[in-house]
Amino acid sequence: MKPDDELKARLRAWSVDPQLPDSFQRAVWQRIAVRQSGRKRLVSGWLEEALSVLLQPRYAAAIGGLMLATSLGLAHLQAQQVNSEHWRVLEARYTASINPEVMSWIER
Amino acid sequence: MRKGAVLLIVGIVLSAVLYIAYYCFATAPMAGMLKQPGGGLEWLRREFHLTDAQYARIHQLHDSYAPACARMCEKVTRANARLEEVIRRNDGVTVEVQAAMEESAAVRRECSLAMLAHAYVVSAEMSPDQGQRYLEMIQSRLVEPGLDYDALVSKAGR
Repeated sequence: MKPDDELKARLRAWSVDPQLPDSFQRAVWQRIAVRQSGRKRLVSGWLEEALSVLLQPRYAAAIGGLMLATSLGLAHLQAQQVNSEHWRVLEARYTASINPEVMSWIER
Repeated sequence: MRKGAVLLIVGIVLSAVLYIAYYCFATAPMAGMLKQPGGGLEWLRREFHLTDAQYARIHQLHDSYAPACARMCEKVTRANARLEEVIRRNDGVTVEVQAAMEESAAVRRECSLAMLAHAYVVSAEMSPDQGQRYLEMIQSRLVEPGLDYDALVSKAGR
């Protein structure tokens, strides 16, 4: 028997049978769960804290007031924009009504 | 905390209601003017601060000018249609094309003169400063007719 043949035979006969501890998988999942819950606790804790501050009546009233003022301001700006556009259209309508050339162009 | 939540929700609802109410209230008069047929004249009344008497006289002038304006509008339409047809039929600047173009230009000049004459009469009914401002507006439309007529057509729905 040549040395190579002997080596090949030994390699064929060799097998590995790893033995993991019973608790291995459980421990891994536990570690993952602990990390995730820690992260969630961090976010939810921050949210709860922010909410508890914001929902204090004086802060809630201030936020409500700010929202009212903002919505009023936005409505005013939007209305101004729409009104100026309508004003331009009305001007064009009047000018067209006395300009036969434009009237003929519109009627085409 | 509960009281705060109620306050916040009331704030949100009130803000939305206030936004809609203010917007509708602020845009309703102008939207109404836009819908009514005489919106252009109503615009003139407000823009040039016309008194009721001035407005009545200008309205009358406008009504008496309207038929002549409509006749000229037809003339412009006919002249333009003829010009288009002649341009299509010819393959160069022929005598026929020149004649059609001159006819179209003459009609347009007639229209501009009629509009200017009407503008002078209307401005004479206004207070001097408003009349001057009105004439300046008409002059700018005659010299630089880059008015937003696309918007006019789209709003009027033709």
